[in-house]
Amino acid sequence: MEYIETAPDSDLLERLHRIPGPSGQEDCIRAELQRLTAWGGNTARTDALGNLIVFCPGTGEHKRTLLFSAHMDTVGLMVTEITDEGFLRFAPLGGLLPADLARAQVVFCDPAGQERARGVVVPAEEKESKSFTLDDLYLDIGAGSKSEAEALVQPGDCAVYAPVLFRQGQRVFATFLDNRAGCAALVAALNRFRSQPPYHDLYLVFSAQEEVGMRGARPAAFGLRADYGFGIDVTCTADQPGSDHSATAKLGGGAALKLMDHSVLCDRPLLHRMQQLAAEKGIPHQMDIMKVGGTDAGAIQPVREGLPVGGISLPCRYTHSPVECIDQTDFQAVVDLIQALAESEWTV
Amino acid sequence: MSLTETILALSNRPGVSSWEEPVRDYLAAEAQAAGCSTEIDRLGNLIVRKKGTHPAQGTVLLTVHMDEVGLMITDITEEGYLRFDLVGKPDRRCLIGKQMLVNGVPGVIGIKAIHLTDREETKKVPSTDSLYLDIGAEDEAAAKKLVSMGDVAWFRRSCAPFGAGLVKGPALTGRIPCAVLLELLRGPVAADCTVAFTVQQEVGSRGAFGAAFRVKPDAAVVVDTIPANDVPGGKRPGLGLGGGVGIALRDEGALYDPNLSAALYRLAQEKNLPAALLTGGSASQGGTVQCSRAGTKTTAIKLPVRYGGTPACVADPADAETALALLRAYLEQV
Repeated sequence: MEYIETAPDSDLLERLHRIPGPSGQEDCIRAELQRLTAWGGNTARTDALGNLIVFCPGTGEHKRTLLFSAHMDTVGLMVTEITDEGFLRFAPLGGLLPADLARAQVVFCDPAGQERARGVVVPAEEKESKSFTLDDLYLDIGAGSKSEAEALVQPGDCAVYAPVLFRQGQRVFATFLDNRAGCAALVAALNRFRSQPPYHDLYLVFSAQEEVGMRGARPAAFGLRADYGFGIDVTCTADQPGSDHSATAKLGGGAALKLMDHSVLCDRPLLHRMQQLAAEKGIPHQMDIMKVGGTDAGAIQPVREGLPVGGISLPCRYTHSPVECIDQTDFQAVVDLIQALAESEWTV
Repeated sequence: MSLTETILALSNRPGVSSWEEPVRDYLAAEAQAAGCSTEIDRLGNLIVRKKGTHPAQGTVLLTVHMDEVGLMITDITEEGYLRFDLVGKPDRRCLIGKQMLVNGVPGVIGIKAIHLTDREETKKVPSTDSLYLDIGAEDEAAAKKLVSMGDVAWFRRSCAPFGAGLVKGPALTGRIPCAVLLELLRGPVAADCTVAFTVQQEVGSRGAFGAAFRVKPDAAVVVDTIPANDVPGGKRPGLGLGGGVGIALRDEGALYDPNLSAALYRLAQEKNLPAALLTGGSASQGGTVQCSRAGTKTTAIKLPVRYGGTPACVADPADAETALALLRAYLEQV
């Protein structure tokens, strides 16, 4: 417990990015997140979809109930078939581009989260790299025959990118910043309330199956009553070479406040209140507007009679590829803003 | 009545999405005769509850769909031909020349003659625009005496046994799972259970949402079908006729509860029932049921059927028997 008390927020990135949790098989990451949030008067439960729902009671006189949703699952591969030669065919879990997957190292883990097999994704040789599809890709786990492969994996087993994390300057390069960085930010913000409870009641939903269609968040939101919802996720940036500017966020520009993505138009009064709060507290912030992409904010808005929603996004490059990239100062800004929302008396 | 006879009885009743009454009326009457309580919800789903020899721990929901793909009449031409739109996804490659019933009136699907002369066109799947229904009417006025805009059309009913113990007929992709569940309801069951015979699955699992919301299950099993792979060019891995049932880990609409799927697969192996784990396939009602309200632990079992979306699907009643045995075993230990 001592370690968690004193560890800087960034250590959470170290811990969380490497834990396996592809969509539908989130047991390992859920267990870690439950451990990290089990302190003080916090309570937690797991629902039928596998969402982890943590409740942290507030003490404010005019407290509201805030729901923060950060998905804990990642993209991955599910083995569908083992060929006679010992190669694996797979189905994608979530949006994966052949160009990102080809040549990637992937790992299979045991129920405790320990690596038990490793392989590399390879394209069928005759295919031109410009034109290959997911169907042209195989997984090579070094087996010389079907039976050798079957000793290591079965159809239904899931693999994820082999974990890596390094820092350079203010940038963090790592696997699965989408959305372990969002989860880390939420845990870090919760940790700010160890000695003093928040003003508002807080539900922290670490949701399941977001990458395959935002499937976990709405059932989670249905099972509780909130006044406002916030999606905590990464968002795409428009600041890398060849960017076609279909996104507005930039690394280093601060917490990206969501106005729109493909799944949601956020509540404008709520967005303005968030911008005001960020300005009051001196938290750097920017706009998050994207044509494409779906997030938990979109999933929880149409729950029951509806929920006003906003999003606090972490700008991120190269999402769903083996190595993604965020800016450390943006990460801090997201944590600070979540804290500000939780501890300040505000309403819309 | 044997399971095969039940399959024939259900397949020989029409039930295009949103017009499921002929199938539903039969199912409701049969369920009541078997001592079950029945209700029809606002969307038209038939919800049947059966008491078991012991109460279940929580509400168990078994879900199948009553509807089938078909056509809807959108226009009647001056010459008395009918233009239509598709309800669900019938296989457009095999519509030409098929015998249909438009609200009971016999008709044949034709294609604009010009489309037969162009060599390029013959290689493509005909567009819905190029097809029409011929009910043999002299003109528009004569046609309008028999049919109206908005009427639905279904494949001529022809379900019959054939070959080495197989059955062929329309709509088997929905009706075989219905037959399995009806047989389950006719006999004693180990635990209390609820069966939802849903509407409008073929147009996007629209009935299932309401049914699951109403029933509030603690665990759910969707029974559906997958394309059999024992046909020329069939994709592996998969199931052929006689291969038993597939137990789904994943399809395009859901990642199922891994523990529930594994438990069903183990049960199948214990009881020596032919079964395979499925890691792919198009979306079934499973995803809709799974995400209803605050969520439900869900899995899906799928029977192999050849030629779905065509007037003559082909299936093996033995696979239906396997599914029935697996469901009975599941209810014994639920």
